[in-house]
This record gives sequence, structure tokens and C-alpha cells, in this order.
Amino acid sequence: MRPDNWKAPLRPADQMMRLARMGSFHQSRLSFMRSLLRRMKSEGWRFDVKLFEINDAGVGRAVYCAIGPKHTYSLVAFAHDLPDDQRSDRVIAQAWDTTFTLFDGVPTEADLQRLAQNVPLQEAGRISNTELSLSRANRSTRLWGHVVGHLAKGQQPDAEFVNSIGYLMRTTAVYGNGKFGAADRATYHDRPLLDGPFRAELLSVYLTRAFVMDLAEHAARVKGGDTATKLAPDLRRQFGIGNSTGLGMAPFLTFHPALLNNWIAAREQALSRVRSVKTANAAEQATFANFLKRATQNANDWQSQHPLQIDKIAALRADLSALTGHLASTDLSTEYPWDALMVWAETTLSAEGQEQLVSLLLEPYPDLVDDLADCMKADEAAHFAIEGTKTVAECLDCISENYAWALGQDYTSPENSARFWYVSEEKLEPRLGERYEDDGATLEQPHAIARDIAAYHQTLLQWPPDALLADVLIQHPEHRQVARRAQLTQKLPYAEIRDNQISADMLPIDMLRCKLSFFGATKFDPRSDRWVRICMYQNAPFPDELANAPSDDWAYPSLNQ
Amino acid sequence: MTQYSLTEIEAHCRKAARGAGYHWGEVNDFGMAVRWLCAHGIDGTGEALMMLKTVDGNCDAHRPSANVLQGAIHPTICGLSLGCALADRGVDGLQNTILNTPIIAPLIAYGIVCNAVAQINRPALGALLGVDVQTNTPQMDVSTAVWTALNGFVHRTYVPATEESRLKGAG
Repeated sequence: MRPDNWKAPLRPADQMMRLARMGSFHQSRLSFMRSLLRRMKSEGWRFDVKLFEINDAGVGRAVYCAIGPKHTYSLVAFAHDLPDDQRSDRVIAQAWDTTFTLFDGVPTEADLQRLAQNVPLQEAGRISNTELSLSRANRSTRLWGHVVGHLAKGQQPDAEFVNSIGYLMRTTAVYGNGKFGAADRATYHDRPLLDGPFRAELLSVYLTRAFVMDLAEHAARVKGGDTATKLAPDLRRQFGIGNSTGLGMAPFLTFHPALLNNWIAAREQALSRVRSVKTANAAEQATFANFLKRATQNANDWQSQHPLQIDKIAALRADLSALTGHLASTDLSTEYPWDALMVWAETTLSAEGQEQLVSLLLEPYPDLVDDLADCMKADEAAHFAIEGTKTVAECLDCISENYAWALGQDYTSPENSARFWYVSEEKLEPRLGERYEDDGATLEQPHAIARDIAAYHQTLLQWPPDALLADVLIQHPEHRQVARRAQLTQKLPYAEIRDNQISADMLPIDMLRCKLSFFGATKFDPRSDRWVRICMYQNAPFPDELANAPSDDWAYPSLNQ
Repeated sequence: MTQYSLTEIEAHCRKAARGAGYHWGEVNDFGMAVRWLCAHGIDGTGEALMMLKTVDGNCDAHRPSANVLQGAIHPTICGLSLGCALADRGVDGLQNTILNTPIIAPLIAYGIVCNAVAQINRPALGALLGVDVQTNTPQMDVSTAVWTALNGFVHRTYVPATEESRLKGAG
């Protein structure tokens, strides 16, 4: 018998922080896109297309304002005429179909003139502390042509084709936090709405989606004249905004350990709260069953050409089928039904299915879990100081407790040190090299946490147990980075990816998947082991629909779709 | 002069210190220190450049040993490694520290300690380091000359562009 106040334990970091596990996460109620739209809806944000000056060639500018109780933010969009041979998703691209910035307030004509000189240049331009983000997007050429062509003829595009791609344009970078002269996050991180992670960036993407749809309908009007029509609202919402993401996103998780911890901890805390529910009422059971069907629909819609992802999707579909079958023969009116379901899943389902179940379990319980979205920010600087007065014995204990996974490996073996992370001088693109084949390993970025922890451990073993860490680090400054990380991990157990980031079998897409799932992305479609296409805001209400849309009910496809 | 964000200043100086030969953990302190200095109206980037030009590639020669913090004499120590050593000793570390060695860029040491140890006695720290610090509104304008010179260090951290890297590295 469990006591009445029984609390399900959090899943351990040794389980959660493995890359294969992190690479199986799904969007949930705590994802940033969902918490952003919940917040804007609850605060009654209004939206206004303040300017839409696009000519018949599709070139021009637009301003889309999001107006909240205290602040207004404006997406400033520039549309360009991009030759097909210049369209590239790579960071090394020089030109794009559309470029954007999120402006703090409502821009004046002088602001727009200044931004027109800089935003289209992206990394080669400069923005200022009145701008919160800098981004660009390229067309999905296949779907763009199909949609514009059909609308111009007064017809709706083919829904199945729309769903197979999911977006008319995909962003290829969304920069924030001080990049290229933009406002430092520290200058706005305590404002309402922008006080969570990536809120400014994801607001810009939300408005970008609206602009892109208007741009396509404008192109259809130009082409078809009076014959042209607009997208039917239900079909229109099935367009998300795509994103193409490469290695640049992976280092973020490694170098924002407190933030990573808080994301994972919030999700695990939410799961624990639901597992601790003693009895599930009929409405909660029905909500869960409904979302299971919608998740099944989502898995059936999910397409990828990549062998790894094809296998994962197949496993997910099988898992959801097994889960559906299990529910049919399971009495959820017993005590702690959700905990029992997770216990069953952990021995039955793949990691994909287990993590999908975690997301689904949160759906019936907004009052229990949604507040945890407010715990997902972090002040990395607050955890920066090294406590040099800790003894060597204490440091060794910390390593034993949190880094057993990194010890006992031979990091001189090719398979354990096969890769190195580096930054190319070519537009500073983050890249991954083969240590024993490629040039540049001496310029390795500090991703070799496992190897470096093992070396730090060896050094500590040479010191007296009562020596102070500060004295070790004076003689061994080469261990400073991992000494700091180890202390942080002692306080924040989910701060460290517990896998070797330079091994031969490491998959960068696992890191991308983890981060993007917290954003709220869906339809992960890896194009290699190191870049991925995704969909954002698919099925979400558009800005002019948000106020009257059902509350936070868009993140899974509806069953009549 | 160009106005940079504090995030840009921090990242630029962190990379520059790496380019000058410092270890990863140290360069994080360096970037944060310059950010702290600029946020408090102090010319952090100028101090950063002066230190990196002086130390360039000879980091080990400018590191303190434990007895340097007890008053032993050493030719010179750099503000970066001294700042790390002081910061690691925490809020009480100043009480047992005596310095008799010239410091390259003591403001960097000041910034590292103030950034890491919020409760530090700043006047006592300034006295130990021999600096008289007046804080002010943020100073984020950086001259082209200083930024470009720092960029010379930063550039050393990048792997040269090759066709093979372009094709293989980013997948």
C-alpha cells in the first residue's frame, strides 16, 4: 500500500540523459510554442498587419504586430526575388526568399529603412538593441508552386500533398540573444511573455508563418487575378512553418547546462505529478484516450526518408498500437493508473513510444502541469562560480556519482575519440570532423566532456583527499571547464548529456531532436546524421483566430483531418 | 566605434582568449569578466586586448603558483589566471591573500572575481589588485581597431575552409 501522499520518483539522469533517449522526445504541454500561445491567448493579445507592401514580383516589406497588455512586438519581413540556384538551407547561404527581424515596439519608417539595409544581409548586416531576433526562410519550391498555382486557378491545393510537406517555407536560422547587435536577452528576460526560453524567437516564427501564408495568397492573386481564391481556413491551418537545422543547435545544449537541466527537470516533474495521481476520473481517462488517437494519427502522417527515422517511426506506430491494445484490456479506475501504465511501457515500448506516452500523460492535467512551463528558464551565470574550497575527496565523490558513464573508457581508441567538433572559418559554421582523417582536430571545441572528465578524475586521484580544488586548478587549469561542469551537475543532475560526444556512433540529430521537441516541433525528418527538417506550429490557430480557438488544442492533428 | 551587444563582446573575448592559448574553462571566465566590466561602464575590451597581446601564447609563464597568492614574488602574472585563482577561493579568499607580483590587466582579475563572487568586498579586491574602479552605465561601444585586433586572436580558433570540410563537416 502506498501512503496517500505518495509521490512518484523522478526518472534518473542516467536514464534520461542518454542521447538515444533525448533523441526520442516529443512535444508536450510544456513545449515553448504551446506555452507561448497559451499565454498570448490568456492575456488577450491582439494582432495587426500594419504594413503589407509586396509588389507583383513578390518583392517588398511587411510589418505584423503582436500587441499585448504592456508591450508590442513587430515582425518586420522582407520578401525577395531569389533565383532558384541560390536557394540553400545551409548557414553558408548568402541570399534567401524572405528575411525577418522581430522589432521591440512598432517600427517607424526610419527604422524600416535602416532594417531594409541590414536584415536582408543576415549575418553580414547589423541590427540593434531594438531588435530581438534575426531570421530568414526559404520556400519549399514543390509545395509553393502547387499551392500558388491552384489558388490562382480558384482551386484548393491537394490536402494530402500539403500534409506530406507541411509548410510553404522553412526557416534556416533564427538568431536571438544579442547576435549581430540584437538586444541581449538579459535586457528583456524579465518581461511578461518573453520571460521563458526562446519566446522572442518563437513569437517571430509564429508571425512568420502568418506572413508566409499571406504572401502565398498574394502571389496567387497576382497570378490568377479575379479567378484566384484564398486557402480554406481548415486547410490553411495545416500549414506550419518549416525549419532546417544543422549542427549549430547541438552545442547549445552542451554549453547551457543549467537550462538543459531545467527543461528536463520540468518535464520529469510533470510526469511525476501525473504518475502520482491516485485515481483518474472518467473525463481524464477520455482525454487521454482521445489524445492517444490523435498521436496515432500524427505518427501515421509522419514521413521521413532517413533509414534511422523510418525505423523509429515504425517503432512508434507499433508502440502506439500496443498501447491502444493494452488500454482496451486495462482498468484505469484502479489506483495510480498512470504510474502503472508507465511501468508497463518501460518494459514493453521503445524509447520513442515511452516518451510519446510521457507527453500524452500530461494532456489530461493542465492544472497539474502547466505551471511547470514557468520553471524552464535558467540563469547560467548563477551557477558559474567554482567552489574551490571543496576537497578533492568531495570532487571524486561527485564524479563517481554523476560520471560513472564516462570513466573506464579508453579515449585513445579510435571508436571512442572518432570525432571532433569545430567551427569553420566559412561563415563560422559549426561542423563535425573525423579526428583520424580530417585536418583541424587541434582546434577542437570542448565537447569531449567524457574524455576530459576521465582525465580530470585521473589528476584528482594523484592529490591528497583533503587538498582543495582551488589548489588543483592553479596547477591544472586544463581541467577548469569540466571541474565547473561536474560541480554544476552535482546540483542540477539533468545538466549533462551522459554520452560521449566524440564517439564514432554519436548521432548529433539526437541533440537536435531533444532541443526541438522542447520548442514544440513535430515531424522530425533527419536528412543525415547531422541535420534535420521539422515542422512548427502545424495546425495552430493563426493570430486572427487565436482568441476564439479552443485552448491549447492544436499540437496534435484533429481526428477529422 | 560600433555598438556591440554584451553577448557579442563576451563571445568575442572568450574566443580571443582561446586563440591566445588559454584553456576552455579559463576563457569562459575571461568572456564573462569582460562582459561584467563593459556592463559596469569599464573599458573591458581594451583591457582584454592589452592582456592577450602581452601574454599571447605564453599563458603558462604568467600563471600564479599557490605561493604567489601568499606573497611570493613572480615576474608577472596575468589577470585571467589570477582572477580564476581568487574567484575559486570565494568570498573569504581575499583575507588570506597577499600579492607582491606585477599583474598584467588587473581589471580582468577584478571582473572575473566580481562576476563569479557576487558578495565579494569590491573595495578590498580593488586594493589587493591595485586598481581604483569606478562603475558607470554600460559601455558597449568598441573601436574598430580593438575589435579587429581581438579578431586576429579569434580567427585562430577557426578551421580553414576547404571543399572537403564544406561537403563532409556539416552533413
